[in-house]
Amino acid sequence: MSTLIYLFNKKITPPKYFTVTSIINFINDSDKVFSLAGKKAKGFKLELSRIKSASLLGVLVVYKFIEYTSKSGCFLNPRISINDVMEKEFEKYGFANLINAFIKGRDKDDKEIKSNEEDLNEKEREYKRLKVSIGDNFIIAPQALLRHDQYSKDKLNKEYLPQIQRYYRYDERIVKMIFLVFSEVLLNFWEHAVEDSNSVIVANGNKQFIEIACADSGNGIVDTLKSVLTNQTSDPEVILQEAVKRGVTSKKNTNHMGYGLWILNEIVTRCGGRMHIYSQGGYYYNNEGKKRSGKCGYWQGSIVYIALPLHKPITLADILAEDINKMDLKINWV
Amino acid sequence: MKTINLNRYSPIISDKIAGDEIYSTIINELSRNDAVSIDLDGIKSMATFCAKQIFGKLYLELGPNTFFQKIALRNASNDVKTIIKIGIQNALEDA
Repeated sequence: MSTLIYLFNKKITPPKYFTVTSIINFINDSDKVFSLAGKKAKGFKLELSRIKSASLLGVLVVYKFIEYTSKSGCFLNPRISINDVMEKEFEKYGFANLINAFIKGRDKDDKEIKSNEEDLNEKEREYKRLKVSIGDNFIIAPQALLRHDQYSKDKLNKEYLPQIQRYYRYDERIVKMIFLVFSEVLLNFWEHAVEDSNSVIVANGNKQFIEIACADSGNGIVDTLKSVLTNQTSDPEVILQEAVKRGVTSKKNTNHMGYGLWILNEIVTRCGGRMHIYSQGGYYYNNEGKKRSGKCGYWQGSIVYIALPLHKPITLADILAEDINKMDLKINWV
Repeated sequence: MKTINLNRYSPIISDKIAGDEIYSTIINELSRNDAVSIDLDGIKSMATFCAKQIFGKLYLELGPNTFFQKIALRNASNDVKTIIKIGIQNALEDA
């Protein structure tokens, strides 16, 4: 009886300066990886040793790549090469312990990714040890979004968000804007994610800006929306353009309103920020109000990145002032 | 008037389970009291989904006049008021 051996003789090397705008190169290079679940393909190497700097989004995407390929059994004895820069970036954004849960061996600069149940349990424990770090800036270390895990929700609501509130206490509008963004991002990932989609949120900010990144490897925005769009398109580029429009939802006739991504897109446009979405072969960018979408490599699930400058905070009341004035509702505000 | 304090959900209400809990609490209290006061002090934001899930549903079930007579909303910030209005309006449009 012969065993089929898959070969995947490929090395993925992220850009030296792994900025928010160069993430697409890594996603393009990762395109075939999501078809390797369970294949245990031989010959893969992730080359992180040439990186000279990495953004928060770059670190998150690399982590999600390692997590997905390990948990899904994509590779047999994959190799990873990490330099000091990348070690420090993992440490800075709170990913070091999570990454190490998937890596064994330290033969010179090469490390081998491994995946077994013991290490996965270890990883989940690490999530619970993570803390928010506040100095001149603040970093919310990666937080797993597990729909039925009260721990995650309590951690966010009782520990992380109050610290952000204190950090920005000098401007209530900043707090409102940030919390509105968190509300919609969290709801979106919590409600659309399936149990095993491994959603992770991470944030980084200072007095000038905040960036929030969330990624999963479950059902992506493209798949969830494609069945309900009236034009029946399967083009990810078109679907992502639709996804940010007001009232577009995959769950019609429910409490879903299709406002989440639209609100985020409006805030980003009005305050001159950035929103980047990647999902299942498509991307959508809003850079200071300049919007474009296109095709890219396949990423299973969705990645949402939002960066907001804080000099001109936008609230929902600003966005919907006209609509609110037209409403004739009987509400007893006291 | 019975007061329901939502402070334990602060600062943001952003998931379906919390929304279900709040809706059920309000319905339960309405079955025992003529009117309820919902204190939103400390709630800084709310996902639009939750606004529709809680207040949109109540507005539809009770009707505008009864909603006004039986439910008082206290200490809501302008942003939270906006979110609640949007949730109710959207529920009305869907009905």
